[in-house]
Amino acid sequence: MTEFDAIVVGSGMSGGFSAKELAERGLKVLVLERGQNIDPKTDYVDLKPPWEKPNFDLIAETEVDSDYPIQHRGVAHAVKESNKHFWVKDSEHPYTTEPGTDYDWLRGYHLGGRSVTWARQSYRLSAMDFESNKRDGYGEDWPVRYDDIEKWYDHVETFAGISGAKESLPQLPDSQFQPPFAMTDAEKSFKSKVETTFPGRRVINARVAHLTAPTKEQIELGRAPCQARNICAMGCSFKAYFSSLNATLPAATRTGNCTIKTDAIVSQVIYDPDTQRVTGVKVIDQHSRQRTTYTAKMVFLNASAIGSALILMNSKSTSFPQGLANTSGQLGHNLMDHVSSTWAMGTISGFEHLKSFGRRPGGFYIPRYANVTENDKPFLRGFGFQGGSGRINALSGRSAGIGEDYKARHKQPGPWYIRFGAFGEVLPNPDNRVSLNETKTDKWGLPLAHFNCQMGKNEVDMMREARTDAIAMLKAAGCTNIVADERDVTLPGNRIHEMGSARMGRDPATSVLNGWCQSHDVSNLFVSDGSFMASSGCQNPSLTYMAFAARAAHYAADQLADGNI
Amino acid sequence: MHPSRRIILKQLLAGVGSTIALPAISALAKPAVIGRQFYSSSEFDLVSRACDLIIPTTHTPGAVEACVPQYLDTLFAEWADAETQIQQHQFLAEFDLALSSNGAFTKLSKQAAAEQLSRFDTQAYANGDITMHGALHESYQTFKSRLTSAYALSEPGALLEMDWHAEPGQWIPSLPLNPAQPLNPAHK
Repeated sequence: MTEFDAIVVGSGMSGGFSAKELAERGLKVLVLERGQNIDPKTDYVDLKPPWEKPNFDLIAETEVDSDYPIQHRGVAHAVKESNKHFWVKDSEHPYTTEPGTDYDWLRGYHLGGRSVTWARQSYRLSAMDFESNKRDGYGEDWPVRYDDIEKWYDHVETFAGISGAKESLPQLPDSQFQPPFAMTDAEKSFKSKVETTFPGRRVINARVAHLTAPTKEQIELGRAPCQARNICAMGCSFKAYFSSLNATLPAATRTGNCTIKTDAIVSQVIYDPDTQRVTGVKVIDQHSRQRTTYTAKMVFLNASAIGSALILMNSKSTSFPQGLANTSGQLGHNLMDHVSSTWAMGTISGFEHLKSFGRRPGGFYIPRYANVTENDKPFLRGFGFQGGSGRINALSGRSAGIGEDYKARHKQPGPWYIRFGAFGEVLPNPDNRVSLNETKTDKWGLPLAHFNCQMGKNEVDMMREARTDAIAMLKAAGCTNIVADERDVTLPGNRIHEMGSARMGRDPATSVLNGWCQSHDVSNLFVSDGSFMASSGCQNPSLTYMAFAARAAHYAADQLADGNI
Repeated sequence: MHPSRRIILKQLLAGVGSTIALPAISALAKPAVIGRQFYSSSEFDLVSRACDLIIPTTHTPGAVEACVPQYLDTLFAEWADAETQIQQHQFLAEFDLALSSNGAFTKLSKQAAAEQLSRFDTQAYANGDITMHGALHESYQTFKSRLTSAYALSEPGALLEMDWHAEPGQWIPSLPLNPAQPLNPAHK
């Protein structure tokens, strides 16, 4: 007799959806979160005005050096003194990298995971993306196609709330939208000139997981429309942006079927060779280090593409000497992220008499056109641009003058600017991998993660083209003072879109999961975080994680009901 | 929030009949930081004078009334590491020296001090600065940037000068900068 019908490991973007869907199907669910509890009423820090955050809300320099060197290096704009509890201390959560390589493992260990701090950009993969591996031969062919997942995108979008506008673009299918955050006049001008000069390119509203016209269900969950504050990394007391804390976990717990335990580090998934099923998980309390075992009819790993892979690798047995569910040997390989480089910016004239009110969470998006409408590119696949506009203000103080004139000038907005940067697809590469460090362990005695990842020539060539294209579009729009420094591509992990460590595929010999995020080797084991991704697309991936997690949960519930699990 | 900052703001708002709603004062009040933590007495005087000259009191509080000198003092005491602290001390020593060619800068009349600082400021932002003061000028720009940002993030700076709204409640992409000026029909 098991304690639960399902154990969900991880409470973030995908774990929240696993818990919600399973609990709403009537299953008794246990959610295990390795980090601390987050109570939105006390742990969100979005209601503090800037003057209540001393020192520009900066973490002390000595503390950055000792405790947050990697998190701060990766996302200094989001890791602040007031919200540092949403980020791990690197000093407490070390990892290693292969000599000559580097990796940005940027994360938070707390209830809600990175759904609390994500950028909320939400785009579907397209039919083209699910066929890309098969088409060019990189990676394993997806065992699903867009038609298989379309209704699940609908399902999660309707619940989460995605603002955006319908465009009917084949490379970027429309979502179930709430009204978009409108473009500024400067952006409309940019859009018009870019689309005229480059007929294959489109400038569209950003698609973000923010409520603009909440549904009855969203209101019942205590969610309100976005207040246009754009301080989302502090949490949102209005619950206006989607996170598992704001949406899926409350939906799961209101069923009465969901139990949540925090501070619970899952060290292993338990496998019974007699039944050839997993029976539960072993847990270490992060504070007391007390060890506990929980049992269930099935296990969902939603601990992130890296976390879930590490748990499976650490669950070795005589049946699975390479790690649980790893007869293919692919576990930990093909680790992907997205790639970025420089952001391009220019000033645009003609709108000096205008200003905006409010601080919206997203501006515009330029969907992929490389190898879609423009097929002259010296690389495979493509990239999208995220950007926006605004008025340069003089708050930096980096201008001459003192006294009343200087003070008065700083109230006046400066010129309008257009700014955007590329997010490019990273090819699946079996040499890019995470594994267990064979000698070093963390303070709970668990092997450290060891990374061996590098961006390849395709990614470098792609970002070079993106920079050239960005400058050309700014020029076409009549922008001046264009800045687009040549920079190296971002480190693997820096875009915080890790995925692919337990890829799905049709062949158990070459993939870890089937098309339902179900282990080929163990039928009651599911991995429905970013691990399953067979390719990355260039779109922000969280929406896809949600859709596959929901689909997997319903499939598992059906299988359980039919007695197959 | 420094209590004196709130008192000043309350007085100001009362004086001009402002309708700006302050958050509940009791909820925001914090224990006062007593005394300086980082700057010496002479450094604090120098920083205060620079604050007063760069962002003076007008119809709204200036940087001194917004407690920017205290803010910077706390910044360097709590945020800065030893190296940054040393750099700040060094900058202030050189800054004071550069401004005191006609007598101690903090003892000059306000007008004389303003003229002295204005000359220095102009040099500091001159294009192609290749003088021996290049490093000092760069440090001054950083100092002025922090001073200005601290003012903009202060309660009077944010609410009265920068028109900052805690909860805009909506996004309006294009509004006339001057409400009295109608929108160009092309932009409606």
